[in-house]
Amino acid sequence: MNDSPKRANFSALTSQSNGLNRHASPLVNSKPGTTRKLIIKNFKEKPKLPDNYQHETWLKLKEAVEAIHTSHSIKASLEELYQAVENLCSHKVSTALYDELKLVCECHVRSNIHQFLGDCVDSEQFLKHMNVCWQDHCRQMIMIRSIFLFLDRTYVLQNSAVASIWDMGLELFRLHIISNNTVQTRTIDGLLMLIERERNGEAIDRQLLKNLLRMLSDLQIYQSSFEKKFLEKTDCLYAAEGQRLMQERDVPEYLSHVDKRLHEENERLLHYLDQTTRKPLISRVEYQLLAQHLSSILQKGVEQLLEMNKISILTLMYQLLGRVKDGLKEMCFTFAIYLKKKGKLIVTNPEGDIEKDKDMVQQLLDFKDQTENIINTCFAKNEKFVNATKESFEYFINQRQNKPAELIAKYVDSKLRAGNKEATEEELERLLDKIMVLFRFIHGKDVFEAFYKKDLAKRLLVGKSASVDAEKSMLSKLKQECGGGFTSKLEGMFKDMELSKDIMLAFKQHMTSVQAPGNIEMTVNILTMGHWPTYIPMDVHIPVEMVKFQEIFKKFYLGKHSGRKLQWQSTLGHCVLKASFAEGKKELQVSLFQTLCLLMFNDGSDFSFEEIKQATAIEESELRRTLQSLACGKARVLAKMPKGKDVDTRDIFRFNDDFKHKLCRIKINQIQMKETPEENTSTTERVFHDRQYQVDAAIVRIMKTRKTLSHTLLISELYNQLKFPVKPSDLKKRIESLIDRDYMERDKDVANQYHYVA
Amino acid sequence: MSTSRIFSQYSKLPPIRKPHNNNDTKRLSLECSEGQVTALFDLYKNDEDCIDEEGIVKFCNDLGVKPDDFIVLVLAWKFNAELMGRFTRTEFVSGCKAIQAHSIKWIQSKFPLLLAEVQNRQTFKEFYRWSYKFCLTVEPGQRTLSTEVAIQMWTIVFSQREPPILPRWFRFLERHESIRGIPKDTWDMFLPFTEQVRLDLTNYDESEAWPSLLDDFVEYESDLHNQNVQMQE
Repeated sequence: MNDSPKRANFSALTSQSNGLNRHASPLVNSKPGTTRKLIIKNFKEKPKLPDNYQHETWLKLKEAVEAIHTSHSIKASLEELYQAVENLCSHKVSTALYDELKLVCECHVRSNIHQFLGDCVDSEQFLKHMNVCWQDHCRQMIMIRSIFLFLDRTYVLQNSAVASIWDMGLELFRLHIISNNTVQTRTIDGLLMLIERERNGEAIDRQLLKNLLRMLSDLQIYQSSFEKKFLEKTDCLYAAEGQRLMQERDVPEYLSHVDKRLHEENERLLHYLDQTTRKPLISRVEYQLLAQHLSSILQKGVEQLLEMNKISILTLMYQLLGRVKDGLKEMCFTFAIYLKKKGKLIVTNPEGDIEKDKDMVQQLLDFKDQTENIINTCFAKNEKFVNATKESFEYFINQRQNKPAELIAKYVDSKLRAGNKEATEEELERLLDKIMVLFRFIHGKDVFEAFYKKDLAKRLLVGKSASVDAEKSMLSKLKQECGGGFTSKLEGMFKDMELSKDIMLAFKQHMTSVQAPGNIEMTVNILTMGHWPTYIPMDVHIPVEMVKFQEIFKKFYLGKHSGRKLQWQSTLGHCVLKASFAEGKKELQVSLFQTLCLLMFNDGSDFSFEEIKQATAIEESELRRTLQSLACGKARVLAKMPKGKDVDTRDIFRFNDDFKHKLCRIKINQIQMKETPEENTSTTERVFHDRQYQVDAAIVRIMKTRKTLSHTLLISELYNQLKFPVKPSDLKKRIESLIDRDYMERDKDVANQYHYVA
Repeated sequence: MSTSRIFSQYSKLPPIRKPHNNNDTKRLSLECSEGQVTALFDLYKNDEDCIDEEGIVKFCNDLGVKPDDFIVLVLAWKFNAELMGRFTRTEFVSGCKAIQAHSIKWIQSKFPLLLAEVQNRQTFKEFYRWSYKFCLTVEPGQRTLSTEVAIQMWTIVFSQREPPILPRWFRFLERHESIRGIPKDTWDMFLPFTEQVRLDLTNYDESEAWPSLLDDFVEYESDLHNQNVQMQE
């Protein structure tokens, strides 16, 4: 750093003239209109200086300089002195003058050192003396320079080897004062000590520091003598502090402290340190307090902070760690580990606790919300962190096969069912969008489809769907995510419902001309097989009137669509029964099976389990569920003997004439909506079977095209084509099965190759 | 017994050798032998003109071997027997012709030759693969050999040159009741397994096309090994 020596406003206490000289203007105010001629003649003789002039003038000047040096008033006027200098310079004595001046100054400067060489001077006092000495020196040099300005402006400028008076002064000071080892050491140490005290919390004289540091700058020894030591001390201090505080304090406190320190150092840079020190200083502080402890900070603190959602501290950490190399990278890594760990805890259920599974989806949604909030607020939506989140979620959601997909499907079902008055339309939309985010991460989407389809079917058939718009919206989201193939069957289900409505209109027309059997009304939904889940038809004994009605409808329908076959699904039917109790008439909304049981009591008051089973031909476990819902649930239209929650084959059932309920129309067919554990496992198994078929089909397809293929290529091709997660050992088993069934064979000589068997 | 005495005299006559008339010689020796072979067959046949299991037992006794001996299986293979436990007339006669033997003693004398023949790697491979299909014929309509029977077959088939891994393979099979029989592919691939994979199983790569049962076996063995190592530690 080269200071321009002509910066007069730099360290002087008093503002000085800026060296402008004013000469009397040679122009003469002439009267307007008249021209006068000015004649200038040379001297006849060259004017000569008096003999002693040089010596005497110099004495005068010397006296003045000494007076300045001793802070006494100057006898001669400044004008006079200035003129003297000019005269001497005009008569070519500049060199001598300069040298003489330098001698005087040198002498004076030299004499000043003694005060600094004394023993046992209090450090601060020492610095104050130094400051005073320096300030004086500057002031004096400026004064001297203004007197000798002419010299500066002529002789000095014309001789590049000669330093300006200001620079000369600096050089003298540097040489005779500050280069002295003792003086320098004391000065530097004093300065460092002051800074240390300030760092320890004391208030210090900042102005003093500023002045002295500027002095060092001007003397061009700032970096070599001060900065180096200063930075070393900084290193030491913060290294020790970092170590100590990491042990003593917890992470939030530590980070606030670091923040404070950085702030303080910036203040120092503002107030007294030179700006060139900024970069090395700050980077050292960051290094010692942050980079050195990066892994400890992350290990000790991050997980808890994330868990407890401490937004402000996480923000601070992000900002601080962003300053050091790899800081954010490591933080992102730790963040990902936390996400994976916590997510895995939410998703997995090693003890098989059913209650825990019920909460999974809600917990996942909350977790995702919380994570997003942290990323937006604390991590400034940093792309790395966003990606880490995606990767972590995808990882842990698939740590448990199938269950998350199933639970998400069920969650959606619960939200789309009627009676879910919690959410407005917009809230529901937003919720479904959030669900889709989770859905996107799942690898085995076919499990979701199987459950979603089953639940959708139930909603549509038992009339439990809350809003067609919401259903359609969800469907379009799925279509967008997975393509039309995924949703085509689901759409087919909706279409079937629409078509059924049309058919029922036509049927009602038709019925006006036909005698309706009994006093019943019937509505039929036609389901296209393949669109809907597979239902196992159960043959049960249906009352004669119903059968007749079914026949009429069948005839009607097949009259319109001759090539088709209809199969009645008794498990899906539901009825509204009018019942008379002692209290009054009620309407009961019940499943078909429940109906069959209840209708028996038109012909008798008591029936045993066996009798009911015989009469209705309902399968035993199904019958148990049905009777349980009628006799042991909330609405007990039947009474069971003996009393109890479970239905035994030896129980007797009786019509409960005393049945009371505040509503007129009572729904007792919830059991149709509920899923049995058997249903659950069978759905999952069906998905696996489907997957097996898909694998087989894919293998045959690939082999048929390629005719001959190596094992490794076949496996990699399969992974390209299959959309669900599958283990290589499963693929091997399917290959073996196909070999066994003669779809393909192994090459006789090259065991690793397969051939297609036509 | 008396018939064999009669015939044995014939068999001691050396064949007439005429260098320029080899065909005749062969025909002669063949004609002689065919009669003998047929007679041999008649010794053991049953009512339906076949040698059944009982006949085979007798046949083996006379040969001085047990019915489940290796050489008997080789014979069946050479005879192109269609069903296990039975030799038809055609099979027996053309089989004996093929090995150029027309009496018990002659058949016995061919034993070393047959054993040597089957030592050849390629021949053994064919023989090995054939024996699976042959064994299946015990129960018509069966596609897969039961584990028990497979173990027995392996014991026989490898009796001349037992692969060192065999006892451990058997132990694995016996300990895992869930294994439902040995498919043909697994049987076939077991042979190259014994040839290519080291005894410590370290060069086994399950990402290759080995049948999954062999994958399970290697995994089982390495689990055992790890357990042992841990216990030692």
